[in-house]
Amino acid sequence: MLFTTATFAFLFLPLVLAGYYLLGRRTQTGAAAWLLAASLFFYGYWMPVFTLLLVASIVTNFQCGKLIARTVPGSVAARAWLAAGVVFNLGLLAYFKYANFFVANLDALLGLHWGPLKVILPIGISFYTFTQIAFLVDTWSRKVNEARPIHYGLFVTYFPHLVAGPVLHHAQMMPQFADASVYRFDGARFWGGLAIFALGLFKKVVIADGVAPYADAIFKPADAGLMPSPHEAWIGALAYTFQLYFDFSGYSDMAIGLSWMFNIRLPFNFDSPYKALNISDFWRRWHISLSTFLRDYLYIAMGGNRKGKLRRYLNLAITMVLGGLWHGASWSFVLWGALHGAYLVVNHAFGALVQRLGLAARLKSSKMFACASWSLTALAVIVAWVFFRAETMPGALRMLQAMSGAVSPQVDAGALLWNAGLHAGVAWRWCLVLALAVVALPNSNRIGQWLLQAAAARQAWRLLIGGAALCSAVFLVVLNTMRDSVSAFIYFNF
Amino acid sequence: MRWRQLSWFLLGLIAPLVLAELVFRLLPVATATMRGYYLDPDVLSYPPHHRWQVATGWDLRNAQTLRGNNWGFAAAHDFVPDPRAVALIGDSYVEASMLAPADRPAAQLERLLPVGRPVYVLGSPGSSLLDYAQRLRLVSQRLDVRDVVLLLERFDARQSLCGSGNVQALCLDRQSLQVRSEHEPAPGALKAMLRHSALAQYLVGQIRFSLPALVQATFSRTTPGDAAAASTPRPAPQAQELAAMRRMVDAVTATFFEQVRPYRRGRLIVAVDGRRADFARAPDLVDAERSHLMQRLREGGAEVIDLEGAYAAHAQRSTRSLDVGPYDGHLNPLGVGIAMREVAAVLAGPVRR
Repeated sequence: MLFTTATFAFLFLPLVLAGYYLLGRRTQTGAAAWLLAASLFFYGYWMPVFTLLLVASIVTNFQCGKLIARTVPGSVAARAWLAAGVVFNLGLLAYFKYANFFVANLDALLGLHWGPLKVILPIGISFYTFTQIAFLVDTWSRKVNEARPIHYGLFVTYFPHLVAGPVLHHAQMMPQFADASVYRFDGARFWGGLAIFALGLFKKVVIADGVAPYADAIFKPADAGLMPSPHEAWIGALAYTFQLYFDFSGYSDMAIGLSWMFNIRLPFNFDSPYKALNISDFWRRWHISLSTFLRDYLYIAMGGNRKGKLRRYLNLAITMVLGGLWHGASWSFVLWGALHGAYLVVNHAFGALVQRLGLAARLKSSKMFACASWSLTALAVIVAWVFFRAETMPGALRMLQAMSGAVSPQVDAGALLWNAGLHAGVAWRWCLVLALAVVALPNSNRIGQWLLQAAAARQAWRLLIGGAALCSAVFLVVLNTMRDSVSAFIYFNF
Repeated sequence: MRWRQLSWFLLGLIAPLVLAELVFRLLPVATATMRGYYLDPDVLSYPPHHRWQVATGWDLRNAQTLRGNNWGFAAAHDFVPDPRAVALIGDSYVEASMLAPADRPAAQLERLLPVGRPVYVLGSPGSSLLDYAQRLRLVSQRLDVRDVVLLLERFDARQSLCGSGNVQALCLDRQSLQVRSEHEPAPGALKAMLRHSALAQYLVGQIRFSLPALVQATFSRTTPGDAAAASTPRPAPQAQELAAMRRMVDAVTATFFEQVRPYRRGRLIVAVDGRRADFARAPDLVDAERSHLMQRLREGGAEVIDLEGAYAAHAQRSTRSLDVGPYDGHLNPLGVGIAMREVAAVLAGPVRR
């Protein structure tokens, strides 16, 4: 089910909210169970058969967690159960997400005919697998010991985050599910949350879906073998840069807003990433929950920066390549991750050099340097997004070739936009307005915090915000419903 | 206290609507066309010199400002009696409101014709062949126009049936194929009032809000794969369908020629739109209807231009589409150019049968 649909907004959400708060008056466990059941229904609405897989994954991980918790810390048994759990999770991921890719590559390499396997990717499998691996690792290191199956099931399936994150950490959620006040209606949080939800809806329905046709109009033909003109390629790359950000951060805002409506706090997932002045800064601001997961459970687990400079760079590169592969089973995602790994290595090496030369303070205070850093970071990110968006490697290379200007004069400049019935002037206006918005406007986290504070401060403001949020959300859902197509969130694919 | 709370909440509800109204007034949201039977009881037009905006879809693509001339048609110049003028008649294909003024059919055709031959464009969205006959009558009676060009889309015969949604005056009853008339009703008080709200125009004109559709969407299960799965090839037409189609086309064209006969004084050129891609596909019922329509028009004495040949020749030379976009099947400037070159070539030559 999509947050942007009438079914969700006018049917599912009101029913789930009503049940949650009505049950919450009598029994916290009942309210949590209701939310768990609603979350499973939400997941099964699209792909009912994969709900069984989700439930099997939850039951297995919960049992595994309990077995780990029963062992002596650091014992062989603890290690063995942890290994079994991680293997189980990675096995699921390997089959459902990577089997097609693996077999296709094996076929190509060895001339075999095993494929195509056509394994269907269950929505959200990457998110719920990572969430549960983190749980097992932290149970093993005695940071957590969860005995309540309903709370555990809810932590994994909680519908606002289930299919596209944020990647939740049990430490952020379990204490909330155990808190009795979470099940009591709080008007300020409810209306403030609805306002944040409406903000996210606007980002998705108006901005991301508005700029998406300009990206699709260029990337799809490029994947199909057509060469875009340089300015078309730049329009496509820029449009996708903004589409992805507003789509995913819009989803995250909606998830955060919905959670506030249930009195639950989710972590921020974005912090104005396109304001970043270097690539490390970018990764502190983009998909924060995934970056944190990769840092805590991969980079640091591999040794982080504790084993010398060379090893640190290697760890960075490996983490980013695996992060790329987490997004999807294709060489273009691997290359996207590798590119970001390389960027990070260069960034860290440059930082070290600047420190050694004693230029750090001078460069930090230079506006020109900040401007150049921002531009270079933006360029690097945009170039990498080409690999992220293109469905084929030749398509990505065609796009980059066109962006570099190395295009044959025989290319019919402007034909791709023409065939999509779009105008370059409108596309550039979209890009300019969105570039100004992402650089100059405060981000939605800050706006959301302000809305929550205002709603909590005075009842009049709460009602004013509530009325405005309700009207805006209804309008945006109606707009989305009356349009021709159902547009899913980009991160549903991962 | 409760009333005070309620008033804050209501104020909150109203605030985004007021803001949306202001924003939509700044954006190129379609404005009221105010169409009515100003010129003739059987011809729908805009008020003379009326200005209005058009845009496509929720994201307001191809926004244009149009202006009616002295006759209330979206035309570059006023209509005055002139026997050298060429009347270009049709529906939205001829008005082409989504194109820039210089790209519209009348402007392109006028550039191709000798100086001194103005093109009087009488395009009216949501009309069909029998409505064109009424406009032909009007230009002949009042403007002394001799040569008339009709630009037809493939469905123009079928759209002449009553209840098709593309009828402005005369139509044929679906069952009996007898002539009836169906006029667009005058707007009610609510519609007349809502015409002045940009927000209402956006809801009705741009996203075509419908409560039943919203309710249906709320209670139906849709997944992103549904749209892709929906497109299936059309089956080959059955003999029964073909016979019914031929009866319908025969009745429509017979009525058309009956209506225009007293007013035909010069050439009647009919350019018929066709497939613009997928030329190898087996013909379906629509293609058969189009062929039969062209045959009957030729037999009635019209000079028929089959545009499909010109489109096919273009497809061999270029990958550029002739559609406004995947979201709008009207001809784009390139397609209009191809069609108008064909028309200009026929107009420049001798009468052909």
